[in-house]
Parts: sequence; structure tokens; C-alpha cells
Amino acid sequence: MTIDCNAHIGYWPFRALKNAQPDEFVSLMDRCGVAQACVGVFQGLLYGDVRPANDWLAEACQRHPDRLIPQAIVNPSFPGWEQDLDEALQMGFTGVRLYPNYHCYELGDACAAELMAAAAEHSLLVGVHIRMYDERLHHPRCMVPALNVTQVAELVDGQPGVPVVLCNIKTAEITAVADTVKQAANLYVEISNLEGTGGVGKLIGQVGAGSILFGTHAPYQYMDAALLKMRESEISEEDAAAIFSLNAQRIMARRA
Amino acid sequence: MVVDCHVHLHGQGRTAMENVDFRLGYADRLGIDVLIVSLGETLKHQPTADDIEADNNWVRDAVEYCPERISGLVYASPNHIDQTLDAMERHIHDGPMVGLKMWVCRRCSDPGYDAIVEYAVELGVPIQQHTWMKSTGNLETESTPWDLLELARRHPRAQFVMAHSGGNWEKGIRIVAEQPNIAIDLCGGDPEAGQTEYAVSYLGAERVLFGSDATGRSFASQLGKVTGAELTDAQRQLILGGNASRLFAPEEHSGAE
Repeated sequence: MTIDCNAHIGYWPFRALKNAQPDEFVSLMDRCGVAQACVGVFQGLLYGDVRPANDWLAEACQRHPDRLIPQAIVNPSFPGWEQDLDEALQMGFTGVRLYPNYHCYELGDACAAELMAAAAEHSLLVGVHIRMYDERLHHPRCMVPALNVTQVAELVDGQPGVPVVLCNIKTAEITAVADTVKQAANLYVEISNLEGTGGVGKLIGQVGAGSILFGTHAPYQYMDAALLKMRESEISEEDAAAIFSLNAQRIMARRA
Repeated sequence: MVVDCHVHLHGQGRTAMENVDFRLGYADRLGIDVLIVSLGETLKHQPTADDIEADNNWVRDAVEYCPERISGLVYASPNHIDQTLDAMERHIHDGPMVGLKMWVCRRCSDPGYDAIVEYAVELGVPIQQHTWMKSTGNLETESTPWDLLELARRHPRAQFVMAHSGGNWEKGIRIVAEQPNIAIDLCGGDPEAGQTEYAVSYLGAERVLFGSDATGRSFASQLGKVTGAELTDAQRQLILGGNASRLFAPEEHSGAE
């Protein structure tokens, strides 16, 4: 079984993307053998008030409740974000996605700690996006620097019960926080932006298979790329199963 | 046959041969048959004449170690014309290397490249030219697809492979679309969905090559750009290996128009 822990659907602002609507995204999952996907919503990235994006996502995922696991976009630096979160909880969201670099706050800011406290209270999974795409390709009038990943320890230290997934994290950034990931039982990395020959095998050596989640960043990226990364490295069956699904299932099951 | 047209051999061993063994282990798991390699033990933006010599010997060592799996490109620099032309003579004319690598030491629109390109035409080998267009800013001496277009127009008998699809692939592909002696490789960027289909729509599958930019990039992330693309089987075969086999076989395009 394969669970994609980093996908989005919706409307990407900078390029026409295929397979970004719910039905076609599920068809893509079928072609690639992906059973379930945690999905965020593209268009909320540049919204001030993110609630319409979450409304759209909740409705979009209703057609595929067994396949798509919607994760609400939350901006804890925006006035009234607690109400946004409450509404998301009422709609059944079980996880949230944070985009601090797009929403102009740092992981060490008080608002991030407040969001983590709320996540602990409601047993939410928290995805933190380090970036959405290669900074070298950003629209020249919409350049958004990557998040400073070294502040992640401040985010997770106070809330050891909240699982935090570092999404779209690059290889060098993983190396920079590898010790933190290894030591924190609630901190995970996904592989969609992992690079280098044999990257997954090396990553297992750095942080252990128990801290790694399978993620594709589809449909922005080809889903096949992450699947092939799992084949490129020589990985034990046990480690592969943990990365493909068991770690994600363990995180999600803790709410039950 | 699957040919990765863009591989480097640094950082994974004390010798070129150790670097070859390291890479082939991973290539085998993904069904990649042949690696076309370039540059040396370390990456040098501004190679000296000695660097040119050492890097080309490094690649030649790799080719001679495993000729059935490794093909090599000569590292060329207009800042060291004599050494570059000499290397082309010894490593291409006399064998076994199959093309040129031009990287970032000078923008390729510079006429300083002309003698190198003219000799490549005479030898009948293609030129892999690094290109990028970065929102964050290029190196001062780094070529854009516009630079390559200028060079290719000056040398219509030369065959170029525009590395990295120009970085910003939507722009890069459109810039070179009408220049028939420029093919592209897909490597060196994140596996952004749509890149391969876009390239095929503007260039035709015959001008698109699979490459990885390993070892900095994963073989897998880059191969996924082709296996995950919506293509016909015939298009996929051309991109995965047919085009590289054709372009990097010197006898096929010697004296080509």
C-alpha cells in the first residue's frame, strides 16, 4: 500500500497543471498505484482569507473519501485564524498545512507556537512546506524565499505529541536538520524534493526509516519521480513498507 | 536501450572507476544502460588548461574502464583554445569520446567558441551546452537559451543539446523551438510535471533527450519525467535512448546540414 503524504489539488497560479482536479488526480493515483493521498489546496497559498480554499477542498474531496485525505490550509498570522481552524475541524479535516514563507511568519514566531498548541488540542497532523517550487524558477514579481528550516526544533520541542511533516525539503536542508529529525519522535520528512544518487538510502542512514514519509508533490511534480526514488536505492522490505505507508498509518491512527 | 545523456563523475570515490561503479549500481536498478559523462573529479567553473587536461583524462579513464556502459564528452573552454582543440584531437578524433561539454566559463554566444564548434562539426560530434535562466540571477558567464540560439544560428551545421531545457523550461523550449540544430535534455531541475510533454509539443520527440545530471540529481527523479509523461511508446523510446544513440554516434551526423 502506498500513501502519498504531500499532494495538492486545485488551481496553481503560475502554470496550467494537469491532474489537479479531484477526479483526474484520483485517476493519476490509480495509474501510479497510490492508494491514498494527503492533499492540500493550491489556491489558498496566495489568499488572504483561506476559508474559501478550505471550503473548496472539503467539497472536492467528498467525492473520494477513501482516497483523498484533505488537509486544511491555515495561516496563524492572519486575524481570526482560530475561526478558520474551527471551521476546518467542523468540516472533518484531520490535518493542516502551513506555508510560513508565503504567509510571512517564521517557525519560531509566537503564532506558530499557538497553532501547534491548537494542533495538540485537536490531535492534528501538521505539514510545513519549506517551499512550493524551485526558487530559481519563481515568477520574477512573486519571488518567495525558502523557509529557514533550522527553526523547526523550536516548533516541535514544545509539542512532542504533534506530528510535523517537513514537506518539499531539499537534500541539503535535511542534512542541516538531520539530528533534530532523528531525535524528535514527532518530526518527519517526505521525499518529494530529495535528490542525489541513491537519496532515499542515504536518508535512511541519516534519520532512520521511521522518520521518513513517501511524498510526491503531485500533481506539481510527476508522481513517478518519487516512486522511482524508492526503487533507485536498495531498501529493505521493512524500511520500504514503513516509508510507503506504515509510518503514515501510525501517525493517522493516533487520532482514533 | 536507455541512455542517460547527462552524468557527472565527482564525489563518490577516489578514481573515475570508483565513481563509475557507484553510479552503475543505481542505474542498474532503474534500467539505465548507458551513461554519457563529462567534467572531472571536481566541478570547476573556470578550469585552467591543466584542469581541462585532468578532467578529460578522468572521463577517458571512465570510458576505457567500462566502454559498453560509459561514453564521454570532452570538456571544452574558449579560454584555453589550444588545449581544448588538442583534447578534441586526442579524445574524439582518435577516440573514444563522442562529443563536447561546454559549461559556464564563458557565455556561449561569445565568438571565442567558434573554433571549437567548427572543429566539432568537422569531427561530426554534438555539443552539450549548459543553459539556465534563473529568477535569482545567473552567473555572469552562464549561458541562457538566447546565447545558445545565437551560437546555433552562427553554426547551422553543428548539433547542440541544450542542457537543462534552459532551466526555465517553458521559456527555454520556446526560445529554441524554431532552431532545428538544437535538441534539449530534460535534466537538472525538479521533476515538474508537464515538462516532457511541453518539450515534445514544441520540438517533436526527436529533439528531446533523457538526462539526469547525476550525481547531484537522482537518476530516479529525472527518469520519472519520462516514465511519468503522457507520451506514445515510440516517443518515450526516442527520449529515453533513441535520440541519444543517434546524436552521439559520430558516424551518423558527420557533415550533417
